[in-house]
Amino acid sequence: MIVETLLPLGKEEPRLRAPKVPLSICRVVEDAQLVMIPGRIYAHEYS
Amino acid sequence: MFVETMLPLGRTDSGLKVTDGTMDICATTSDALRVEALGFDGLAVQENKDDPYVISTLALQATTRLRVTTSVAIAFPRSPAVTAMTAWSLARLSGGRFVLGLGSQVKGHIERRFGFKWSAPGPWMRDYLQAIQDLWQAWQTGTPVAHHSAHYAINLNVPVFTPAPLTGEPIKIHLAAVNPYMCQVAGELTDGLRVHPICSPQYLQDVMMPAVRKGAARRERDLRGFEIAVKPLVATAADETKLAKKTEEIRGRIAFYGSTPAYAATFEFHGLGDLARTLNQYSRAQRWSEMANLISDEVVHQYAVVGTYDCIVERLRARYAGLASVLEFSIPVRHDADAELLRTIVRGLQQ
Repeated sequence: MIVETLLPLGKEEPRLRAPKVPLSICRVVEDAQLVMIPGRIYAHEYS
Repeated sequence: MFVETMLPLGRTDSGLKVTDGTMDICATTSDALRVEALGFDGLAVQENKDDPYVISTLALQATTRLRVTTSVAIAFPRSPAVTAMTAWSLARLSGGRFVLGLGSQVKGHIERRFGFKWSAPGPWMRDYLQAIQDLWQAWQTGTPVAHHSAHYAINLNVPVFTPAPLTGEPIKIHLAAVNPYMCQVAGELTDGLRVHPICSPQYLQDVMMPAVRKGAARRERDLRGFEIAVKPLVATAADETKLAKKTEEIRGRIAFYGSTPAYAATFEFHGLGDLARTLNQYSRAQRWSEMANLISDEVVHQYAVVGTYDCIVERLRARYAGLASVLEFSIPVRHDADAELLRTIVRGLQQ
C-alpha cells in the first residue's frame, strides 16, 4: 500500500474550520524532506 | 536602473516562433542562484512552455535577494482567486520578493489555446485586477470578500480557505501593455507597466505614459514609485562581425512583431502602418523568410539598441535613463569571461 501524509505532520483533515496547525509554505521543503526519511521523523519526534 | 534577466541567460524575447534558448525547469534553482551571484536585481519569468508560477517558486526558494517577477503570466485563463492565492503564497514564501506581472494575451490564444470566450481585454483586465485586490484586502484585514463586477462575482468566505495576513509591503502588480487603454488600466490599478519590446522609447513617452497618467488621475493615484519595466530589443556582441549577425536576428524579430495586428499601433505611430500591413500579408501567406528583408536599417534602429559590448551600456542608458526604472538585459554565459563581462555590464546599467 502507498502511505501518504498531510503537512504538517499530525495535521487532521480540516473540513470547513480553520486547522489547528496551519501549513507553513516556508517549511514545505524541510517538512517534505522529513517525510521522505522515516529515521529522521523518528529522531525529530522523540529527540 | 533596476536590472533583471530572463532564463536562460542570453535568451531573447520569444516573439519568434522558436526561441533561441530553451528554459530548463530542472536547472531553475542553479540558474537563479547564478543570476543572483552575477549581481542582477531581478529575474523575469515568462509563460511559455512551463508554468511561470512554478518557475517563480523554484527561483524564490533558491535565492535570498533576487526579486522575481512573472513577465508575464497570462491572466484570463486563471480565475483571479487562483492568481491572488498563488501570488499570496509566493509573497509569503519569499518575504515579499515576488511581483505579480500579468498580461492579457490576444484573442486567438485565449480562445483557441486556453478555451475561453474572448471579451474586450481592457475592461476584463480592470475587473480581474480589482477582484485580486479585493481578495487581498479581505485576507489582509480579515474581512469578508465581496467583489462584484461585469466579469466576476466572488463572495464565498470560508475560514479554511482564507489565507492569513502577510507581513511587510503589499504585493506589487505589473501589467503588460501596448495600447493606450491597457496602459490606462495599469495607471488605475497597478504598480508598474511591463512595456512590450516593440514599443519604442518615443511611443512609450508620447502614447503610453499619458495613458498611464490618465488612469492614475481617474483614481486620484500618486504615481511615485510606479515602475516602468522595459525589455528592449538589443543586438549586442563582442565585435562588429558578430554584431552584424545579431542585427539580422533583430531584423527578423521586428518583422515578426510588425506582422502582428495587436502591435499595429506602434508601427502607425512611427508612420510605418503600410509596412505593418505588408508584413501581416506576408505572414498570412507563410512568407516568413522574406519578411526581414522589408525591415530597413533605419527601422532596426528605431526599435532596437545596437552596439558592441563595449558601448552597449552607454547606448541603453542613453535611450532609457529617466524613462525606464527596470531594464531586462543579458548575454549568453558560456565561460567565466562571459560571466565577468555580464557582471560588469549589469553594474554599469545599475549606476
